[in-house]
Amino acid sequence: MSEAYFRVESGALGPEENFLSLDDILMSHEKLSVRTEIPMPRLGAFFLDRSGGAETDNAIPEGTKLELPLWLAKGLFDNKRRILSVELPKIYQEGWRTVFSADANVVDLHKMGPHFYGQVIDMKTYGIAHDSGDRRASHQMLLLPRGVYDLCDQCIVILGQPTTFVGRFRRIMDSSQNAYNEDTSALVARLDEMERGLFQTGQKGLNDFQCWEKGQASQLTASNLVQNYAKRKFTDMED
Amino acid sequence: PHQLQTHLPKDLLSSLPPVTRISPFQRVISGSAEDGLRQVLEEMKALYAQNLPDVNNTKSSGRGDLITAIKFRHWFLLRNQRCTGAYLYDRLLRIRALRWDYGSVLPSALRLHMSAEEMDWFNGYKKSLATYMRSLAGDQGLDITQDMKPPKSLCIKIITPI
Repeated sequence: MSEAYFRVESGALGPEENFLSLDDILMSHEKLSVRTEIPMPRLGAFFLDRSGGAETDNAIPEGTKLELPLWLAKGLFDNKRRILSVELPKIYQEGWRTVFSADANVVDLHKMGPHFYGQVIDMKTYGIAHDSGDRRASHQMLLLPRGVYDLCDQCIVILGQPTTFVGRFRRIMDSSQNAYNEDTSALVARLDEMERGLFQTGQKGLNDFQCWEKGQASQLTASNLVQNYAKRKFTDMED
Repeated sequence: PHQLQTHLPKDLLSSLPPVTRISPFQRVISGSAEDGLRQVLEEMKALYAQNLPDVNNTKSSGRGDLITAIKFRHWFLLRNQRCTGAYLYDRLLRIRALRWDYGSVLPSALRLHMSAEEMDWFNGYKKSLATYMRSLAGDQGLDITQDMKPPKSLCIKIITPI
């Protein structure tokens, strides 16, 4: 949109999501596979096909596999009682981590994400936030499976070593800085949402500079928003 | 009463990256796609009404097993609240940008997509921006919504209003 529109940026890469960020809302909307560890009365209404029926107080039986969004899984987390066990999404499991460390560039993070970084960090801080007391005892008791705790340690490996992000950073920068007037759709298709933002920032810098070099920067143009609006009105008339 | 649109207005919408085109109101569990603001509020009322007897049950007859259900609905309430807040706030951010892109009079096609409350907010914003700009640079004020680009030439002619 226009330069006057200041959207709320994502905070998912930090300790907490941004309350008003649309990106973070969509990120925390991604589903996690969970298994119920206790029967949950009255909640069958939310999962019609999983309900135990009226005679069981409309309960979701223990051991039911459900797909819950990240925000709900986080909310139901309980330090004292084990309510859910969460299955670590495949992309964060050992197999994929090996792939990342071999060559992070080959992975299609958009297909696997599209909020790969935000989610992994969200789960990491989440795990750490509740990691009080003895670590080993706690991950037997806690909502999160062992994998997430290993992941908490290895997140630093994923993000800090020249593997996933660092491994991909150079290529993102290269392509965003050099693909001038080229079709970039193939490049962008495999990027996660955060990487797309970076790529676009790089492209904008490149384009602005090229325009300036060609002497186009001083030409007065209507703002993007007004231009788009005018275009649309024009096509409306054609219809 | 004027009802706010559920979806982002089309004119604003097409300039968004595709992922944000999804309404934050997408319901998770029922699978029904895009509910309106009114429906979200109705849903919150219903969730609240369902939670109340369960809370009382937990207190009076010691049904601790209902706590999960209570928490579950509670998180739905908070989630709906967050989505509603983020949705309305983002619209205000876009509406604010309209003042800088279109000037103080909006095309009627854009106004059609705004609620009465949003129009009020826009007018309030316009007023305080105008007051601020009048307070700049002596009596005349200074319109900082103009001259958004640096001057083309190194020498510029300054026309002072009489």
